[in-house]
Amino acid sequence: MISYLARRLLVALLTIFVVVTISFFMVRLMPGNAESYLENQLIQQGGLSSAQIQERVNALLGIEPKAPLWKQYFQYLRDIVHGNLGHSMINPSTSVLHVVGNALPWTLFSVGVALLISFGLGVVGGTIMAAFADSFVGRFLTLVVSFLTAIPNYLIAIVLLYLIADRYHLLPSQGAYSVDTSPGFNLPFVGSVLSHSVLPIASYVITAWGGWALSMKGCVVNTLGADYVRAAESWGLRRRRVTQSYLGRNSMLPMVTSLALSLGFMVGGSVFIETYFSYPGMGFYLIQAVNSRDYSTMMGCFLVITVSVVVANLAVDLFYPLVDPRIVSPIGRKQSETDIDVGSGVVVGPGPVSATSGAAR
Amino acid sequence: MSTATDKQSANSSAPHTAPLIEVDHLTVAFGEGTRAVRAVDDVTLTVGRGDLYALVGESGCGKSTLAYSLLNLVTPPGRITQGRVSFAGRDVTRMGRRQLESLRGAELSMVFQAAMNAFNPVLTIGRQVEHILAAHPGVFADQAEGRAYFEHLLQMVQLSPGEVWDTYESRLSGGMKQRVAIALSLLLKPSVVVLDEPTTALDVLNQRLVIDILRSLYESLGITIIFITHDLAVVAELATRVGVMYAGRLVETGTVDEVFLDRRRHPYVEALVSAIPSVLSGQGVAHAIPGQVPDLRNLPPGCRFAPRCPLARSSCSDGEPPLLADRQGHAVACFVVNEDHDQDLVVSQ
Amino acid sequence: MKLLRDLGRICWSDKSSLFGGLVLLVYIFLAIFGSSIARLTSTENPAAAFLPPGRGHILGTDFYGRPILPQLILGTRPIMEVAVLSGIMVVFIGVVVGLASGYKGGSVDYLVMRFVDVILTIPGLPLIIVISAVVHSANPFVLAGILSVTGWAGLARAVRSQALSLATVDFVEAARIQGLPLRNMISKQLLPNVGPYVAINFLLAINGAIYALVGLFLLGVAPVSGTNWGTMINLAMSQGALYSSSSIYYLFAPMAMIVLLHMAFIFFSRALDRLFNPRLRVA
Repeated sequence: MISYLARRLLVALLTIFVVVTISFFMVRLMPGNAESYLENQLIQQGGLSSAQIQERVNALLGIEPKAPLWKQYFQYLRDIVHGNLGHSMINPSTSVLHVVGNALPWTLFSVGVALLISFGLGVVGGTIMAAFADSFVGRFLTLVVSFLTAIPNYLIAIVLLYLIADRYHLLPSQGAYSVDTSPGFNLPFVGSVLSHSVLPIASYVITAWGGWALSMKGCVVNTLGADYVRAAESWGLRRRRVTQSYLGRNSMLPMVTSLALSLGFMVGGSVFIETYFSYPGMGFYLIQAVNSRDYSTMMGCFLVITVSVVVANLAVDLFYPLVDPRIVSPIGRKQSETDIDVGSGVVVGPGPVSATSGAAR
Repeated sequence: MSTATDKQSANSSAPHTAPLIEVDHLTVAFGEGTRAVRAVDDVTLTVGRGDLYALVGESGCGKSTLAYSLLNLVTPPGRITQGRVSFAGRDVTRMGRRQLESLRGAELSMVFQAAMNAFNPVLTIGRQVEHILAAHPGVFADQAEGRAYFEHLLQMVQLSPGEVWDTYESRLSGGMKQRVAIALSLLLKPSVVVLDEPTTALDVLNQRLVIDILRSLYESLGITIIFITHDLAVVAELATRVGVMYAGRLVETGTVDEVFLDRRRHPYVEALVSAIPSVLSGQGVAHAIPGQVPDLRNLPPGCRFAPRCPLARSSCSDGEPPLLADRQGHAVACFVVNEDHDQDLVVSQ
Repeated sequence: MKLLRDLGRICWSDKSSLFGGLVLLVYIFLAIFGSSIARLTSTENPAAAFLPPGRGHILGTDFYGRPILPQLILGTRPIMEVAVLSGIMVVFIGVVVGLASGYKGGSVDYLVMRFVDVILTIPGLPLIIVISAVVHSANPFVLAGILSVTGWAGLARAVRSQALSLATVDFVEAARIQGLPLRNMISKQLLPNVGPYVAINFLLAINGAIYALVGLFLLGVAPVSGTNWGTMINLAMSQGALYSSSSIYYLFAPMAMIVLLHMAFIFFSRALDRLFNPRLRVA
């Protein structure tokens, strides 16, 4: 148990470390782009000597050209640990941490709620699909779900944007809340937050729940054929007991495993959905930063996105032994022993993960 | 086979003492329509109270399917298409779900082949026992009494309660799980226990243990046991009565002495028995049966064993041989063997 | 080959597999021969903007009055090219890493698997976006490489497990005892077990690459050269297609192309699944 926890913690820390290193080197690797861009900007602004321009560029990028690379690296690490993610290159007075701090809750909120809803819908849908596999309902549902999983989440976002927001003005399409409400625990604000989150969350859910449903169906079908279910029946256990404690619980285990996987994917998807709905989360600011060449903000957002995913994965991994008393690492479960069984489900995981396992995860 | 005569006399003359389970023209098919495969094909047999009945045959002959149908546990794509199974006069195959649930475990229980997988991986054994006790409230006064009896049974199968109750099945060895499964099958004091290949998945030492346990349980609890096996040695040691299946049909049934020793035997059984090397006869030649079990989708015309049978004649392919019994109840389904015997033979189904 | 015959039988009997296979073939055909079929109209005719389907423009026109269909057809190649390249890279890296790690075993295997764990945890899409923002290149190979940066990890794991199970059997020794060449062992033992998984993963990797690639173009993160579906949608949105009803075709046509392709991949990979796992064919 301890070794399991230790290993998960180690991998989590290692991942964060790797990502931090990547971001460090990326900023260093492209000084050409960033530097020259900034230089040009400052030159255009005028009023600074070239030496001053160089100084300012270095300060903004956090480059100390005279210091050796490894020293810069440790400086960078120290800054990160202290929460200093630098300043926005576009608005030098805004700290990246400030931007990230404001954006993170929105992403966590929308992705978190979306994950819960699609998981719930998926479990219910999958069970129905498994229970009525041969009837019209089951087959129809399977067809619908197959269609839905083929649609990338950004396309759904665009469709929703087009139909509901812009054509028929049913729901707001921009921002996290209406500007004429004041933040706080008051009804207008909360209502506004909710109405603004409907479309973004719907975009995640519509495409993701199908994948969960297919997974659940596969899990239930597998468990239905399991010997211990038959054994339970042979002892005369009531059907409800068998469904709950024998079928249900064992079907859920692989689903919980996928939870961690899909989290990373959903957060990745937030990049698109938040951009289209101008929803001020991490993804939104990441893309903004990319398009305006604000590299420090971009790296800061990327870092925080990754760290949140790592932490969430760790949380799921820590939670897993509670569900499965055999205390097998869910990473081990995701692993090859079960993956190689091509028959039981290449389609593992929710939403477009199943359609896109490979590049974008 | 020293205990054979003991068992015979204990079982007295009539092979059908108070029939407890009657299988009547049972057919279990897999698949749809004309392409359906009949794993159990028109089988009729009877198990009497107090029998230690061995159902014998090669893999794929339908014996496991037959065993499952005794508790009406055949799952799709298999289904009972003909006939019925009666337990103490009640038709198991027509029972509703509630009746089946109270029957199973309490009056008729089963130990699965490879009990390795018979336990819910995420619950402790104790928890599962509690579920079973809760599902049959009439058997014990309360959970504590049930648990006490279970622990008593554990001791009979030579396990200590401490190492079983709070354990997850992944921590138990295969042999241990098999014994726990046996104990569980007896928990609710059923009158019949069906065991599917109880010794097959075990090593030799555990096999010995299980055989001894079964015999002592049989003698002390007076239960009726039906066990399925392909191991004739186990049959010789344990069984009082035998039923032999081949390619879905019952080809011979009788007491263990009749099946092993009678001159009038099905050629398949003859071959099986002679394939067992004898410790006493020293170096002999092992006789394997030539050929293979027929594909159930592509059965030979007439007698299914004919292509491999040393006694086969051309007329054997004309039709399926009926199961004919002599006065003692020993029944064989073979044209050639039955013809050569001039006892009064009665159709056994 | 027997496999192909089985595949044919599956496709014939199961409509969705047939659909998947045919659609894929069409797309491949378009990707390869698209430029000989369709030609972009360079003349802009603002008066003909956002026309519904009619003569000369089967799927309507875009903001500049140019017909949409040729753009759709020509947009196939850049996407398919990069996606297939990425799929190949993913499979190649995954198999090589998995095999090497599994066969070596020991501490090498342990370290490599920790690294794979790390890769699997990092959210792929943000990483891809960040990298392509930094590496501003329209070169299909570079793009494919970027898209593959996390995708290989899952496959590596699966292949490694297979290699592990064979390495413990010490198949080299076994091969020598049996007098079989090592090549035979790999082709007869390893590949048949891993092959199906690799094949299906290949399709899914391409599928994922398409998703990511179109996404990159949509967001305007990847540099645009020429026309492709993602750019078309991007242009459509920036040109106000969301606010008028006549622009539906310009907006939805490329979306339909994308969704259709995704569906084809999913259905076809299910067919492959059934091909390699006969257990599933009954259903």
